[in-house]
Parts: sequence; C-alpha cells; structure tokens
Amino acid sequence: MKNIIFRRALCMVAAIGILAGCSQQTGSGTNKNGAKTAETPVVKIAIETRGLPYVEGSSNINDDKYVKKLRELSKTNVNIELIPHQEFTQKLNLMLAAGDLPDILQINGINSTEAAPAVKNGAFYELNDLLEKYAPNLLKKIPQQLWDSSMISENGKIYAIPGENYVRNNVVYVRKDWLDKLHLQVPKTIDEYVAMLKAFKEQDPNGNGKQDEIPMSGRQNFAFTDEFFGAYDVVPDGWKYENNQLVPNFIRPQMKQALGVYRKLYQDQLLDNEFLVQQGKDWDAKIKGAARVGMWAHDPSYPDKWQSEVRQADPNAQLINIPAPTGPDGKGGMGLASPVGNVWAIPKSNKHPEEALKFLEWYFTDEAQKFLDYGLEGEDYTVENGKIQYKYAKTVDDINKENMHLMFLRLIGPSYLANEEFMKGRKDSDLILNGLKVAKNEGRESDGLDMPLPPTLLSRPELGKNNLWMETAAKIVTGKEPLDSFDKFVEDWKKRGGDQVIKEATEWYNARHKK
Amino acid sequence: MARKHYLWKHWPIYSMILPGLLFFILFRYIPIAGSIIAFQDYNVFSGVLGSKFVGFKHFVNLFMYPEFYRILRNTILISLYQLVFGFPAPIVLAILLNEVRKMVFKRTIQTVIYLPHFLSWVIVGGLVINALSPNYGIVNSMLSSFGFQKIFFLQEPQFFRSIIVVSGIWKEIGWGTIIYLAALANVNPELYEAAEVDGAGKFRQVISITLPALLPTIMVLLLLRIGNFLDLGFEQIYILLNPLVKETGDIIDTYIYDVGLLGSQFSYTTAIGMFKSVVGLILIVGANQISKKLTGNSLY
Repeated sequence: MKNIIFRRALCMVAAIGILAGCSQQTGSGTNKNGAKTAETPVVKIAIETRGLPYVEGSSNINDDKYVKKLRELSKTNVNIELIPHQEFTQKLNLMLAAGDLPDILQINGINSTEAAPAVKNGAFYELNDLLEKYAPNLLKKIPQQLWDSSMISENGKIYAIPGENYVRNNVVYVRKDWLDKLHLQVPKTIDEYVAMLKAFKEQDPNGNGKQDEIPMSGRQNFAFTDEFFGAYDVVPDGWKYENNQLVPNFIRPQMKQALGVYRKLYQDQLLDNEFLVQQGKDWDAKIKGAARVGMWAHDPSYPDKWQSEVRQADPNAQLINIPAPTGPDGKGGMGLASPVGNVWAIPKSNKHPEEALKFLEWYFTDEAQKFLDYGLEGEDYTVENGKIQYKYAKTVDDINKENMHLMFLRLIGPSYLANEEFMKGRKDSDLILNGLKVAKNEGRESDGLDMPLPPTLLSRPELGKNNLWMETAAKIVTGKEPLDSFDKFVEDWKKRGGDQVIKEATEWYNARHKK
Repeated sequence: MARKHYLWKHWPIYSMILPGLLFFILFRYIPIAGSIIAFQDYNVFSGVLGSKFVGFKHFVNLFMYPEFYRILRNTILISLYQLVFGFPAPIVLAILLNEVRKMVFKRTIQTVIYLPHFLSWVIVGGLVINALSPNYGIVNSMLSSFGFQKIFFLQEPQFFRSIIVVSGIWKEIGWGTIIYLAALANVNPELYEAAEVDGAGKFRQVISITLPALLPTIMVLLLLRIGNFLDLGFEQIYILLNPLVKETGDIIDTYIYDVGLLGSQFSYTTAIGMFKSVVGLILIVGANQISKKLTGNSLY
C-alpha cells in the first residue's frame, strides 16, 4: 500500500517538474523577443486560433517563421497571444473581467454579450479621430457597410476595426461520383433533393453491395444541416421583419413545413439518424474517414481540401458544390452571416493606440497582401523572370500550413479568395471558384443581422434557439411528437416571454432603420 | 496554562499547519464574501461596490423559472441514483480485491481500473457515445446479434440517468477503492485467523470483520458525499446531453452554464450557486447528526 502511495507521489512530483519546465521555457522565449527589437513598436495581439491545426499545433507561435516575417515586413514587434477557438467567449470574459488586456484584442463584435459592457464602461478606445489622424487608409479601404455594422460602431462612434467576411454562407456538398454513377441530374427543388437522397440510399452508389451509405449527414443542434430550412427561408437563428414585427424564424409557420421535411428524411433514414448527438469529429469521420456520406453542408472556400481528405478513404471520390434546394419562393440557400469577419478592439490599457492602428493599416499595402497570399520566398514561392511561382499546397499538411498566412495572420483586408490570379493557379481551382460562385448566388438574409441579444433572451436563455425550440424540433424530427406540437410550442413560447422578445427585437429594428 | 505551554513547546510542528490555514483563509473564506453579488445586479466594470443591490430578486427568478422543478428533480434523482448505486460500488470492489491472494493479479487489476479516472470526461463521453451508437456501437451490435431491436440509447430519455450513473461508476470505481483498500490494510490479520479458528466462513468474515472495520471510513465519505448532493459534475452530463433527453437530463449545473457563461449573468448564477450551497449545508449537518446518533461516527 505504502509503495503505491509513494509511487503516486513520485508521479505527481514528476508532473509538476514537467509543468515548471514548460512555463520556464515560454517565459524566456518572450523575454528574448522583447529584448531583440526594443526600438521598434511592440504590439501585443490576442487572436482566436480558429481551430487551425497549424496554429494550435505550434509549440510557440511567436517563434514561428511566418510570425517572424510578419514582424520584419510590418516593422512592428508583434507578440501573439492565442485564445483557443473552443473557449473563445469564456476566455474573453475572463480577460475583460480581469482587465489583463493586450494592445489589440479580438472580440465577437462590440454588441456581443461579453464585449458590450466593456464598451459601455469605456474599456476600448473610440476610434473615429484616431483613425482619421493615424490610419486614414483604413477608413478608405474598408467598405462603409462594415463600419456601419452594429458589431463595429454605435451611433456613428467606431469602437473596433472590422475584417471582411468574404464568404457569408455555407453551401451544399455532394459526392459527384455518386451522382454520375447513378446517372442523376443535379437536383434543384426539395422533391428532387429527396429523390437524390433516396437513390443514394437504395442504389448502392459506393458499389460495395451493402446499403451502408448515409445519404445526408449533419451535426448537433442542426449545425451544418440547414439546407432545407433555407428552402423555406426559416434559417433557425435568423429573424424576419413581417407584419411590422421582427420575429425569430423558428416560430414562423414555414418552420413547421421545414420540420416536416426533416421529419420525413429522418424517418426514411435519408438523414443520418445520429445527427442530433453528433459532434464535429464524428461527422468528419463519417464523411472523410469512412467516405459514406453523400451530401452535407459546409464552407465553400475549400472544397479542394475536402476532396483530398475524402479521397484518402475513397480514391475515386469527387465532390461538387451545388445550389441549395429551392423552396416555394424559388429561392434557397443557407443563412447569410454578417459581412463583418474578425473584429479588433483597442483596449484603453494600450498607451500607444496609434501604433496598433498603423500596424493594421499596413495590411492594405501590396507588400502585406503579397506576403499573406504567397507566404515566404524560397519556402512557399520562387520568383522566375519577375513572376511569382507559387508552390500550391497538395497534401493536407501543406494546406494546414498554407492557412497560417492565408487565413490566420490576415487580421483584416481583402481575402485571398478575392485574388483571382492566385486562385486560378491552385490545384482544383475550378472546384473552389464554382463553390464560391454557388455561395454568391444564394443565401438567406436575416433581418436581425448583427442584432445584440434582446435583454429578455439574455435573462431567459430557454427562449433562445438552442433550448425550447431545439427540444421541440428534435422531438418532432425524430417522430417522438407529432408535427402539430409545433403550434403548441409557438403558443407556449410567446406566453413564456416570447412576446417580450419580439417587442424588444422590433424596437431595435425600428431604431436602426429609421435613422 | 498547560495547553499553552504545550503549543509553545512544539511550535515548529504546529507552524507546519500555517500554509494550509492560509490557503483556506485566502481561497476559501475570503471568496465567500464575494457571494454578496447574489443580491446585486453585478456588473464587472462597476465592481462589487458600484453595483446596485436588488435583494432577493435573483432567488425569486430562480424559483419562478418554469423548468425549475424539472432541473431540481433531475438533479436530485441523478444524485440519488449515484448515491445508491455509485457509492457502494467501490466498497464492494475493494472487499473483493481484498480477498484476492495472488499479489500480481491484484496489483494488475488495481492499475487497470485506476486508469479511466485520469481520462477527462470529454474522452470518456466520446467513448460512451461511440459504444452506444446504433450504427457502430458495440452494445447495439451485441443486441442485434441476439436478435433484439437496435436502441438509440442516447436519444431515449428513460435511459439517460442510467447511462450517467453507469458511466460514472465505470470511470471512478477504481479510484474510489484506494481509500477503502488503505483502511482494509490496517485490519489486524489476527482477527481473521481467530474467526477462521471459530469456524467462520469467508462471507461471515466479511460481514463481521471487514465491514465493521470499514464503517468509519464509509460514514465519513458518505457524509462528505451528501454535502455535495447537488453537485453532479457538470462535464459528464453536459457532454452526453442533447435536446431529446433534456427532460430527464437537464440539471442545475447545465442551467447555470446556459445562463451564466453564455448569458454572462454573474449575479443570477451566484444566487443559484448559493442555493445549492445552502441545501448542501443543511443536508450535511442533518446527516451528520443522524450518523452521530446511529453509528457514533461523525465529521466533527
């Protein structure tokens, strides 16, 4: 017995020793950086990792070669603090509460639950004058629509700097090799989609003689599963202004019809019966690892990456993005997110806000764009006869690494997706350009875009999409309750405080659109 | 006088208690004062002094919450099941292990059953989800090979609490045996020898020697466990919870997560936390009194 306890104590001591060793190492690392370039301005930035494998896998992001190059080119001693993608909101809450803030802080918009009180209490600089004085280019180059968003400014006062969201909606992904094998046309309407899914299930497109295909898959809380909500223009987290009221889509009558479609798909096992408990990794495993899924929805900007990942399991796989199912109004598409991408606030604890602004302004120089698009000379590209020869990424690892400069380090400014010359040289560029085209031509606007959560929803979270509605929707879709129970839910929701939510949302809408 | 002298004489030994004492004052007692925000509309930037006092508003809110009965019932039921099934499990296992004579076998078993304790619930939750999956899960493969219908366990409300309790036992049972095994190591072997001479069988020995020897340990752990009656471990339930099983699986802690962290309502969640602590305090004091009367064992 004593022996066991002794051994366990030994393990603990060893573990603590390892931890101490780690923290010491990082400590000395930052010291070194600080001392190296004392004369150039120092800008500390807190950035969300976006779940990018290259970033999250880095042992010390500040020693990364791309970050070093960024320092050299921008003539700014950038020091990055990573905020894990998963706990971004929580971590942000903690940072704001503790007041331990960097020089540039990524937030979810100045009207988000965690940042709004900080703005109200003057924790961030009001940027109008500072921008005009130190970084007029930012005002010029960033579209006015972004500055006007309630995620960025309040009553004309700018509190944050917006990055651009080039892609605002997800699109449908389909296994083109399955379509071809079964001689199917690209579906357009809901019925045609259902027919396609049925064929996927019954006609053995993967040719292994077993009915093991999953025609359509999705994720927990209907994430990446909203193509049929889009057809009826009732994307669950969107809002609609109708009859002089701003109402959440999830109580509109069309929602009942959409749920009816999902119910049917679920019953016929055309929709993955596990989607309600499915985490991202299991969803991934079915689509990529097993290559058994026929249709899903995701970001249109990297179908090439998806295709190479699915091909690891099924070398013959071919993907294509197709227009989402169209509903009774002849239109379709998934919900359109805000045009505002990253949001950067400058906390008052920063004694030199002008340095932060100048650093951000640098992103609109040609030099910056070249670095962000093409990466490092010699490593990612070579120059021949004055022309850039970019080594386009082929493996998954390469793509992950490429995203470091294409996505992660691009705090603001135009997306690489907008650089057509760059895009054309990519492997499978037609796939990506097609995906982007499909995305641009569809999508459902929300009339409550960028709206802060109405106060009643804050204090009564059960009225939000992920609570009462989700419970009802899940029960209807799985057939545990009849479709008509939706009417009871709407009535109940309104009675429990939903009417108040609608009232508050309508006030926000009116205030915003009457100025 | 004599006592003072004693303290003074052995001051180096007594001073060793200081770090522990300081820890409790700094990190356990001083933060209690922070509970005051339960009676305020607390705002991070105005601070405790600047925020407005609102009395019992947040407590009223909690009791008026339409699903309050549901989350309270689920919390109590799951906790009760954990107490009835989860608490005795390590005791039984410890007694069984104690009877094993082959040292190598015993040690191996011990090491293997400790292991799940060191995995986080995110991982164990993933294992549970996979094991119970209707498409790939081992449980359903077994069911269907015996000719039964496949069951989607994680989507059926009636299974949720059992899944929580069973997976909790699986993860923590090995770890829980440590204290009991330590207590059993202290039992005088002569007692067993004497019992054997008197003709007592193995079972009789367990009833008359092992269990009474364990009783003080069992009572202390039981009392401590009762004090945490409303704390179920948020992680485990949150990971396995989905909209279809909310009616049996939504508990106070998951509600706190929804309103507190996602809605940033610090005052409200502090009020809920206080409610839980007060219930815990009443339970622990009550159970302690009962235990004192019945078994003579008590915490203080």
